[in-house]
Amino acid sequence: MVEIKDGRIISAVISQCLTRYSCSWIAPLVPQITARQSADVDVVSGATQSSNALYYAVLQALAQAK
Amino acid sequence: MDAGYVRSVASMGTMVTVRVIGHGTSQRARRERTHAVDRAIAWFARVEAVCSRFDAQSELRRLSTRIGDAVPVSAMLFEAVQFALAVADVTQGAFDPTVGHRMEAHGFNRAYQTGEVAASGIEAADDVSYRDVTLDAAARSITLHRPLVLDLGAVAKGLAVDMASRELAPLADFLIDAGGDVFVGGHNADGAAWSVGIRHPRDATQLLETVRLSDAAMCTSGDYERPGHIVQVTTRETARAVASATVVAPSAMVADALATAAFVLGPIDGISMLEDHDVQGMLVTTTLDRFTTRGWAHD
Repeated sequence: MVEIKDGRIISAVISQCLTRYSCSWIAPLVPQITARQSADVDVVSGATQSSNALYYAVLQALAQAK
Repeated sequence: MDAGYVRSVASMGTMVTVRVIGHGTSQRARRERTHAVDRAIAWFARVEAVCSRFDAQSELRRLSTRIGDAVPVSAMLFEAVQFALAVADVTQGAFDPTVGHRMEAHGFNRAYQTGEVAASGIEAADDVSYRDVTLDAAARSITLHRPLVLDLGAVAKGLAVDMASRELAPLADFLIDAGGDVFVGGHNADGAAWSVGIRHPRDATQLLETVRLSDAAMCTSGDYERPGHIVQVTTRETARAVASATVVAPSAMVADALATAAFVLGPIDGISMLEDHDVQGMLVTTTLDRFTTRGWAHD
């Protein structure tokens, strides 16, 4: 779940573990996203990413905030 | 920016996202868009039910219990295995779908949904290879000549993306992202070719490059998200020279399989193999040197 206020991400939390990785494995990614504040490409190609769940949660939240 | 109509589901061990631009002005258009996305997303569960190595009830796993018999299989499994064997052949086994038991030995034996160990229990000899699998197209059957574990991990997701892209093709402008396996149709919300970033293999917050694509797939094999998950067959060591292999092709199944093969082959042979197949690609070594095919263009 990603919360947006005044166009800035104020929190990003994985509400549910959808992958075989534990939530604690994903958690360190969260500060990177708040620091980056960016969704400057349409999509990113990479090796199978659990973090994509978070990436798209951010992307959707940003889109809805606009 | 109009983000379009977006839907995400968890499937095939990752997050699958479909985005469609336009088709939102009338109720009828929206209904057709919804139905097309429903059909596109349904392919992921359908392909997984057939091709999963982690589900003992999958058609693939049931096939793995029959040694020496010509087993009639579904069209989907036949196509997937036929393609995997073809890529194994053209890459002289650098890509090999019979690595399943080595994947298990490397610890890739847990079902992502439950975290439970889902190993096949099959004892495969060290020297099994794709040559121990034969196909009969007329009978649509597959024969495993020795005990082995087929792994369609580098094929199945691409296949699902390709099937999904066919469902969405009438909508023209769309994007499918299956955990970094990407297919883009038409244009983005700005009417431009989609911008597809390639993740930096050592810094998840950085992109290596951005490529503009339309009606094409891009897939990346990397050593980062699931370290050591690409097993090199020739030396039986985890391939380490390449940190990230990205391929652009008309089909996600092709892009995914060739990215995996290029990853294993290494930067020189990998690029040469990609050029032989008329696809575009970029390999990044563990020392972050970049190797690209002729004609590779990025923003």
